Amino acid sequence: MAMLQSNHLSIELGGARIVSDVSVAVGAGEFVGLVGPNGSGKTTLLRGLHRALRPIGGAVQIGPDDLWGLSPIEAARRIAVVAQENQIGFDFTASEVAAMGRLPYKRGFERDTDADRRLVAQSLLELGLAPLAQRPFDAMSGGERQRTLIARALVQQAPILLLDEPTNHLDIHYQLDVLHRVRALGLTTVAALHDLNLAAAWCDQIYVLDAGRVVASGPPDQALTAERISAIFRIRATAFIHPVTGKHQLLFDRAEEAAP
Amino acid sequence: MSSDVAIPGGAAEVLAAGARLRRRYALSLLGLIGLLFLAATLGMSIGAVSVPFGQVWAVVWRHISQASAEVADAGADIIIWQIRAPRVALSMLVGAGLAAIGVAVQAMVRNPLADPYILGVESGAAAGAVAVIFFGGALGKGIVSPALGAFTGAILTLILVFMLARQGGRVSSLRLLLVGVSLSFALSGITTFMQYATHDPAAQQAILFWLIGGLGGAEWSQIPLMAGVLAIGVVFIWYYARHLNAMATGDETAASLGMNPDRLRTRLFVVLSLVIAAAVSLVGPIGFIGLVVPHVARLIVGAEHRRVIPVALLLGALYLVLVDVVARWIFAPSEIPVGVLTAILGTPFFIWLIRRRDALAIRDAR
Repeated sequence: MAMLQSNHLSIELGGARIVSDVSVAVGAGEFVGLVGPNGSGKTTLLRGLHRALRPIGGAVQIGPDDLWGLSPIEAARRIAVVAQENQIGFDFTASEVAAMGRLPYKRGFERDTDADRRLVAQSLLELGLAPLAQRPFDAMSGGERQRTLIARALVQQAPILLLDEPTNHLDIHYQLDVLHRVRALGLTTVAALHDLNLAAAWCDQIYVLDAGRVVASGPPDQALTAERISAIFRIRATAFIHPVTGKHQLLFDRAEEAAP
Repeated sequence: MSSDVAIPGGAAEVLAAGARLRRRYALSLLGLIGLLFLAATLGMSIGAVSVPFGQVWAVVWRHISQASAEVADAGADIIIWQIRAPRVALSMLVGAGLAAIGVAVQAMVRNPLADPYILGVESGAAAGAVAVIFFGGALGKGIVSPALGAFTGAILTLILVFMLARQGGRVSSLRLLLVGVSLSFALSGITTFMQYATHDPAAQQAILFWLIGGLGGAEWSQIPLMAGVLAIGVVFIWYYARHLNAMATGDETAASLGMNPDRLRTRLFVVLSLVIAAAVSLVGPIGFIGLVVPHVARLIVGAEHRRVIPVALLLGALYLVLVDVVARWIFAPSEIPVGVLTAILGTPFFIWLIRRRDALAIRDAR
């Protein structure tokens, strides 16, 4: 059974249909990428896969349970989200941000236990942030912030991780670093990704979205074919095999008809 | 799996740093409690008649323990127990309340420039009190007190802001902020108009209190109300301290952590407004504390609300007691309203604090 799946999910924002009849299925431990042009509905779909947006049609299932049938706390124990956040303000430190992942496990007045503190420290360590634990989040680099938010997701101890453009604003080192670390966690992961080659190199399965619909899905070499990418992005894509990693990759140039 | 895991004992270092922070927090609490004790002693000792510290606590102890020991100095006894002690107690409660509410309000609207009065309730209280003074003749003098007018004005404003900020079952932080602030301006305009239109010097004097705030009218009878309301407010925000952390970082994050930020914001708005209504009805709109004390608390113990709230409570209490001492002492025997001084005395200190913090940050970054 799929760990996370959407069945004919449709989402509207301000009266406009952004996601139409989208069905995705993510197996336990799989890393699934959502790709597509700007405005294709990647982020909206991702928000519909947790409880940030209520769909107008279709359903989301976590294992055997309906997403909206769970309590908010139960949903938060199963799905952790790393959204695009640049500033969080108030000088929260990396350690404090990570510790927020305990929220769905704590009642009011309940204190942190040593186990909570060890979990936070361990998560920061796992993402290479131990030396930066007391650094204010807003004073960190983009890559450090992204890793801090992933550490918070680890502290949340949810089996499913949703990532919205985790490589945005990162230099190439941190793009690869963040994806490597996320993969190494072994969680069931869905990531909206802008960069097609990163998606092709790191994802098990890819869903290609265009105008709110899934137009292709499958392993990278089947989902991201040169013809399909050329048509959807209105460019000319050329597929090749990376000589070192052996991964399916693409090269791009402008489409003939678009040239002056 | 990662190059950074090579650091030996990395997790232990993180835990040690956390333990250091908790020790610093405990020391801050102890230090502030000590200072508050000293400030309270000073507050009861200083005035037109100076009373030695030892005698101050002897009087307080006699009343608390209800011992029937003979009263050595009846004058000092009355001055300390009937005039200064309730004033110090009210200063502590109001200062603590404004600071703690400031912490929660800044988190709930995600704005470090927010203070308790952006909810509009304070302007409603002032308008209510001033209206009672202004229309005093028509209402029959003395039947309705300005304090009751203030409380009524505050509650009406609370309801109005809430209704106007609510849309589609949601109270968004931006809408709450905009509605509260704009309504606050409108109510201040009405208050100013009444102040301008009245020609009775006594009324003008009375109106002034509701524009500045002062502790001159403190009585023991006010303490149970303020203490009770404050206790409810503090227990409430303490219960939700962890949620305030999440809410301060954004609604979407808060929701993904399993909480409902809109619902908590609505509840906070109602509970905090009640505390503000009580405080403003008793002492008028004392400014600055709710804006600045939360930042000072964060400078001492960081942003985590479970540490900021207790520190802000103590700091707010300490600050208002001290400022009131200055307000009574500087032009003694006459005193100036404490609301005039809170910002004048605090601003240089606060600017020094933030400049020092930023200087340290720049040094650390090098």
